[in-house]
Amino acid sequence: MSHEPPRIPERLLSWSLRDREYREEILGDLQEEYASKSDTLGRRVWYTFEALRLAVRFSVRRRVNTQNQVKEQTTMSNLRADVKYALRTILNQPGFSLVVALALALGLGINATVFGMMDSILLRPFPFPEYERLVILSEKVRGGSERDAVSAANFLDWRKQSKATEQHAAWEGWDAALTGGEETERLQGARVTPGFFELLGVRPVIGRAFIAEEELPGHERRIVIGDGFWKRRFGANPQIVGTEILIGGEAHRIIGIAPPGFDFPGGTQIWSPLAFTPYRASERARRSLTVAAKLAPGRTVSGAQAEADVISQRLAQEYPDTNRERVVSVETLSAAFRPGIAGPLFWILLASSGVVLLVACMNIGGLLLARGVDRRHELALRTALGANRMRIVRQLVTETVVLGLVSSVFALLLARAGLDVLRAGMPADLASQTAGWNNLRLDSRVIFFIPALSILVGILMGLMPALGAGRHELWNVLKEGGRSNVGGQKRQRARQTLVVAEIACALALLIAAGLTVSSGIGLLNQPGGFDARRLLTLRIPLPENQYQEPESRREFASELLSRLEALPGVEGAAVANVLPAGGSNPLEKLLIEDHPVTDPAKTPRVGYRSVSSGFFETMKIPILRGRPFASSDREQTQPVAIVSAAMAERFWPGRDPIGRRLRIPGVGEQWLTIVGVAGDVSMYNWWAGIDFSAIYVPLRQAPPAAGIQAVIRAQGDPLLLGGPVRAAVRSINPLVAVHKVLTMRQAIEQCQSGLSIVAWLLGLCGAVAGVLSVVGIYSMMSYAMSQRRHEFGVRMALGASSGDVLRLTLGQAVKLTGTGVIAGVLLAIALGRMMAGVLGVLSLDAQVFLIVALSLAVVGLVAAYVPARKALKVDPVAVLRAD
Amino acid sequence: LRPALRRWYYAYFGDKIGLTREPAFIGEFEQMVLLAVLQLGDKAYAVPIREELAMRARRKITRGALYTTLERLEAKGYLRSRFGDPVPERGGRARRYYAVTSRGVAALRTSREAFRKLYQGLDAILGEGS
Repeated sequence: MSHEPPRIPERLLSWSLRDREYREEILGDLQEEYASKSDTLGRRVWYTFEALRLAVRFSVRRRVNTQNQVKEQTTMSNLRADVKYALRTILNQPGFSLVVALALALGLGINATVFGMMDSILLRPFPFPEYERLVILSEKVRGGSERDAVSAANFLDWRKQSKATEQHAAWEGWDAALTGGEETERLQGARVTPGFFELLGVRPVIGRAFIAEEELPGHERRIVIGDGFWKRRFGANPQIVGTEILIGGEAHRIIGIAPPGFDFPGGTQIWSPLAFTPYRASERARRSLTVAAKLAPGRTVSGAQAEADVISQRLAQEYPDTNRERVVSVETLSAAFRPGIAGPLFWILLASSGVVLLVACMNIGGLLLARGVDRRHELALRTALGANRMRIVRQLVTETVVLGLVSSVFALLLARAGLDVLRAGMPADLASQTAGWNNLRLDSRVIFFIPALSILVGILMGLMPALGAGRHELWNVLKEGGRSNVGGQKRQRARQTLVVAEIACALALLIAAGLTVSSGIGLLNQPGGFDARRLLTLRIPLPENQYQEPESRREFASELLSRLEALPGVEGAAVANVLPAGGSNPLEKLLIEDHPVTDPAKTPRVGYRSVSSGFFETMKIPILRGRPFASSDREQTQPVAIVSAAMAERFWPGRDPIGRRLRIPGVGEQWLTIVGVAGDVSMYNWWAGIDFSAIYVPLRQAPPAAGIQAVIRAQGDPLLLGGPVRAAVRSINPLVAVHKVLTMRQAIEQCQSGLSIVAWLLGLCGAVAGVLSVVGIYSMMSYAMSQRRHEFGVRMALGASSGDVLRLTLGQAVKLTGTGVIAGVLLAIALGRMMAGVLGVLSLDAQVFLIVALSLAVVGLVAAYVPARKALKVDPVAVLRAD
Repeated sequence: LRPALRRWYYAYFGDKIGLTREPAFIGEFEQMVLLAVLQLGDKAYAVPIREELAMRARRKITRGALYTTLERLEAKGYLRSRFGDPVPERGGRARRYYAVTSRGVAALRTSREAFRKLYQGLDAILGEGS
């Protein structure tokens, strides 16, 4: 048996013991005791622990109270002296220190906010234990990139066959209509297999989760309700567990209450067991499930993917009809639920906040450079008294690090406020769909990240003036007496470079923010392709147990339309599966007769809209060619479709699409004939990139799925129709809930809120950077003026007018600002291009460039003019006499 | 935390505010270490010293504290140390043996005397057998 102790702790201890003799003694003693122990694992732990303990002791309190105390302690006491000195210097110049600390706090605060947001949404969107082992299994067409939902039979097979993943759970969305109250309320629900809660490591705070037998049909009238719903509806009454409530007219027993904050998936407030009937359990073509599982211990995502490939191949052979060319994709939970646009957006935000920090650092660097000149005397004196260069550098760095740490406290406070504002600022239903948004808070990682960043920044900033400080100035400074300006040339140039860089960065950020705002406004005001005025929209999820048959949904829709049209004050009404600004843009694959596709992964997908015959008329969408749907387009007549202008242009550029035929395999087997071309309509889904390709089919020939949306054009104020419309729906079926009763404008504005948060953050970054750079110009100019007072005095005494001198100084400011602005515009073009790649709606608007660049230039020049003006008011005689 | 802070504070500022112990006097713990070294005779190195303290005085002390104390006692001149021969189970390192100097013996005597005087006449309260 080896008696060699663990290497790493031994090394560490050895390193912390500087004295050779003590090293020999202590390491030897420890190893001797180690060798005398028999328990192999236990003694390693013991050794590690003891060695670390000793190492900490001897590196922190190195040999206290010994005679060589003085020699050994210099590092510590120097540090102490430096910190003390730094605090004194900081307190001696409260104004300067405050400016530096605030600038740094702003820069760090924005970084903390963005990092906190990124952390919550990208890195840890779900508060589940062991969430890094959670994976999402989805179906995919071989070679395709779109994830599809999973069929029940495939889920059951995967669950049976997989060894790399375990605890499989599946769920599907469920629109629960809560009846029995005054008004039917729509709740976002999910049907989940019994293992769902266990998989996520979530336990109901009261009652229980589902048990295995509840997966069998006949036991599914049980529900677990969310904390929010419980508090709102039942006043947090714990007695509610065990009682029954009516959902879709059927009694469901409440068996548990989910813990606060748990609303997975995406804002769910009510869960019920997903019971597979034998028929459902054998279905492979109907795909509606989301499947999650946990990686088995020691397995990786790629290992699970390899196994899934084998399983899907086997299933493809067994069930060629439904599973041919279909594969399984395994992804981590956070990757699968990350909004596609979130990643790039956050990189943009992170880069912007980084630039703000950079501007702040440059600003402070400029201030420190200026002060470095003022402090030359002090430093020269210290050098003369025997301080070496290293010592002085260390002292300067200590000062900035202390400042940085102080400002990181402010920064964290700022970030906390910022994150609170962000969390509160997002509309609730959007927030619940962005995983992690409701968990936005300052967590421990941000709290560690910011001070660490501030120390780094402090070191860098301290080094900047420090590197110029120690050298070759001593003699000059002492020789010169009080007069300044020798050796200032280089510093002056450094400061000018900093100011130019600051202006450039700030301008680029401001322009980026301006572009985002202007494209947001543009999106809001862009012609949507229809007339948005006086439109009321509403969503009507149909209870699935009552409207399982397409026939019944069609029946409901036509009944609804006739009642809505009969209401007083209604100009027209229409029903669709989805409306513009309705929150989604469902896509369907197309098989086009004259566009055969060989590779199934490349099947084109366009927006799919199933609309009632009055849709185009009610929305005032122009029919550019052919005819709109008519009431004569019925179930038995020839199946027809209308395509959008963009789609017509995409598949039949310059040719007439009318009369061509296509098939939508996801909806039905029959061929549809194109009878018209409609104007392009914006869905306002900026996050998905704007794509106007769409196909419309008549509602009667293709009834929508369980959720329908209705739109009503009012004669007067559309919101006045809200009550009558609800009543009309209730009169058809009291179990149907209506929600999101909004005017079209309100719906469009809600679609914008994500974009406006991005614009708001970018704008904040730009504004902070702008203010900092203006302060930079001001301080640089006023410093340069004070340095050149003597020179101006001489010039003016020799007959220069104050105008001449002003021109001289402002000339320099114009040059700097001009250079900064040009560099900034170039930078902004690059940044804008990059952002346009992410946000499809962004366009490089020359007007924005011009306005932002001009205003920053003007503000910069004013900031330069003020100190210049002040410097000239000085009496030349007084200046010259002062020498 | 407070005792730790105080210890730290005294260690750093003690000499400036006059709170360091008089060198002529030695503290209770230092006495114990010196006595343990005497008890062990020529086999006194850190490992058995620690065991001795644990066995006889029922004091379980951390290694770090012991090394610091040994070092301090040596610096004050109460102990001297020498290295023995390399030992294989120590990874070829030598043991550092400690011995009490005459100054150390004197200091122990002074302390014992001081304690003896302080304890005098207190048998009624403290009981016999000290």
